[in-house]
Amino acid sequence: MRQARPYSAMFAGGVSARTGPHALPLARIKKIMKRSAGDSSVVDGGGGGGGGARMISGEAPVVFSKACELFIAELTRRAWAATLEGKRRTVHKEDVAAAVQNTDLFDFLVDVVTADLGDDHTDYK
Amino acid sequence: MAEAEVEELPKAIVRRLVKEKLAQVAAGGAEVIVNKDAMSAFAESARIFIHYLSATANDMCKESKRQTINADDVLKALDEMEFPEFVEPLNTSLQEFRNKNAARRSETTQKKAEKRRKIDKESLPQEQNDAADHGKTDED
Repeated sequence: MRQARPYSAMFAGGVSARTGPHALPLARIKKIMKRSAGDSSVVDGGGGGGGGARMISGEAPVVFSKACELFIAELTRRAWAATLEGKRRTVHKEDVAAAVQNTDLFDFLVDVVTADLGDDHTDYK
Repeated sequence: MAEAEVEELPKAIVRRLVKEKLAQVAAGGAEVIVNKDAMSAFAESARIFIHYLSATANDMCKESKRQTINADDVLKALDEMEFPEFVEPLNTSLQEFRNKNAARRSETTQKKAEKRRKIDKESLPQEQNDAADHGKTDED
């Protein structure tokens, strides 16, 4: 029988075997990227490269997946620093919010975590 | 309606990544607890990052008048979003990925060659059978 290839599941959906259990699902990433392309096309009024069926090369989701891992690691590290400043060993939502507010890089997240803090009910839209 | 289909990362994967990072940075090796609200905040932040990166990569692709989003578009998007420190480890990962892919293609080519040889071998016995059948017909 044919030997199982390490990447055989990559483009058939499911989790890539490349980096073990931590890899993010590439099929879902592709779906997100295509939706984003579709949204942009709608904004553009459908002219030129209209339509959401934009092509994505095989390597882009891999880079994308790794970028997401790095982002989560960076946010975690900064949240942990905030936890230590509070003399605690349990990470609270406030620590994530503090990490976001203390880092210009994470400006695009301010609305999310701030809204969470102001409301007991997490109502994600 | 499209908003109802908001894509989420699997929470188990986000949790695993957060726990792994905390294990690295927490001194003393003690277990670090992350309460439920904080874990939700991590997952939500990751989701926003994904959409932000996705939209920016798409913009990069359009600026170049291309129809296919490729790895370079994602890397340029990270620069645009002011995450340049991510680019170097990503280039490393991409190179590893390409190397493994090249190895896989080589293996595939080798298997195809073996298959071709196998087919060639199988054709010989068939010819012999044909010759035998032909002889039998002559006798009749």
